[in-house]
Amino acid sequence: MSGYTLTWVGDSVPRPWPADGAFLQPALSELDPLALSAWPIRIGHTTRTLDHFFKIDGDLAEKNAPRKLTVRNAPRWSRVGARMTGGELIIEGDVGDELGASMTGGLIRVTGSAGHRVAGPDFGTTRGANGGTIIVNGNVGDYAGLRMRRGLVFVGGSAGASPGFRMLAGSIVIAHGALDHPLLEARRGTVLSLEHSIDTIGLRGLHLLSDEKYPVESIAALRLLLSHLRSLGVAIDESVFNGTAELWSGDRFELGKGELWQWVSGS
Amino acid sequence: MEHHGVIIEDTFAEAFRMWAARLIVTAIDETQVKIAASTVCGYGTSVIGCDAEAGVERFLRPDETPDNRPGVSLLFFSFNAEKVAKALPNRTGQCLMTCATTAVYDGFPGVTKTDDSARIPLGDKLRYFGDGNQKSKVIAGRRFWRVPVMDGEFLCESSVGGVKAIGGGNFLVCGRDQRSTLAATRRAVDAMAALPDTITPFPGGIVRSGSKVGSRYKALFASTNDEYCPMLRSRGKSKLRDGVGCVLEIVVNGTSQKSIAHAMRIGIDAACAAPGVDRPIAISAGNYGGNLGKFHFKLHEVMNGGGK
Repeated sequence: MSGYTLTWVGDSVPRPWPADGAFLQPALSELDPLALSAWPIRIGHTTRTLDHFFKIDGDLAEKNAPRKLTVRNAPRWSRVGARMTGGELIIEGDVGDELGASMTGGLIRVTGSAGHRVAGPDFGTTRGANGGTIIVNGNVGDYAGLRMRRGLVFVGGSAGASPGFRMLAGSIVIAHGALDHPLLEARRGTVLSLEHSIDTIGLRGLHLLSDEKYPVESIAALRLLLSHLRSLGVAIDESVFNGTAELWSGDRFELGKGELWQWVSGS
Repeated sequence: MEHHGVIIEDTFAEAFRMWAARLIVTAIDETQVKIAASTVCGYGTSVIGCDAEAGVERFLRPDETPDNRPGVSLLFFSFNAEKVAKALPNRTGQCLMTCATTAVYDGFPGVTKTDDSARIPLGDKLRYFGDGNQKSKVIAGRRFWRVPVMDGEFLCESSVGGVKAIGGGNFLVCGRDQRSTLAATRRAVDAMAALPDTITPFPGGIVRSGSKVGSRYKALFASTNDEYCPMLRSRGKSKLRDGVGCVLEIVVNGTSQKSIAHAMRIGIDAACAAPGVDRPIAISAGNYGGNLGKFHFKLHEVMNGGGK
């Protein structure tokens, strides 16, 4: 896969800087180098070109090849990958809020952490992500998957408050940490927690009720989800496949088809 | 032409257009995989009397399946996409959804609807068994239905790909008697078993009741292939060579001419290499004068690497 790498050099450039990162899209890799350098970025009432802020490496993506854009050391902008429809966006470093907001396709990888409302709704819409995959190696903030309709979010670290808040469908996999009121007001969707924690808040409460424990080997949907993550390069320990997961269903005040799978132990 | 001292008749196998779908079935262990495969492929020998011709393409290791469990790749053939679309939900619903721990995936996931291919609803039909408790899950752009069942849930892909394929590739193993001919034919089936894109849908991969088109009885459109029945030799229409006391047929369905020709070549070679008294006298093929099917596999060309 060919594509460009954008390395942030904007620290040496006088402000104003771009207000958000919505312009960072894999589609930029369809531009030839000259057009990419001259790509306009609106900042308030002024316009700057992309090469004003970034050092550009790499080459034009071949026709019909998957689009790929790598961004290094950029500020923690919000709305990175917002409304993305395809291709691959790699963020080397941290990002701000609304990562992949209202995205419908493609893959976003973040080597650091992300802010609030990952895969949530973008400005001007009430709908969260409707497809695509987000892999965050670090932590994410509150309300990951807010109003998410479809898609997959993997969090290599821990999540903030209420992952899956008002979720309509889709999947969120969280590798570490206790959860804080997962799936509040969710109608459907899956949250999978890969670290056993007795500190998860909201279980044995009113909105999530236990449907008992099951070996992961007997839950084809979870195995499929985990295998898919592995195929994307996410390290899923074999003990997860051989372990047991407890199913919590809810939000019982909503449709009740949401599910929290809390991994319990290895074999 | 001779191969390992066995006469290869100068004739051809006549095959015809079919449509195929491939299911990947996984289960908790190999025992359940084999049970699922044998059940769903049951009564799937010939479209003369069955809704589909079905068979095991090959068994899969856990690292080859979508959910990292043991699995099997199955191929189903019928005359057109509509008939495949009718047979698959019936067979999956009765034989796979009922089989403990199984999950069903599309074996042609990249296939879209075109003139030469189709999307065949599968989980989209079976989901209603969930009585409103079913859930869907989209993973990597593929939609799966999760139907709650008493052992947990039955996972089934919403639709599967259907492609144009070929049915009726065949060859006849003409041997001395039942025991030796069966031994040679089994060698052929064993050699063909692991080949991709093909199945041998008959019991053990072997047919003893090869058929011709038509019958003296109006209700039947196929009847016994009397030219290859040893016990009718004295009637004067026999095509059997002297010494032939038993004929067994291997029918090969495949997704392409190339795959069928390759499977026939491997099978014929294995049969001809049978040791001692098991070695057949001749290899022939079943055809209908060239008027029924548009795919002709000439045995001499097949054995020379052609027939693609």
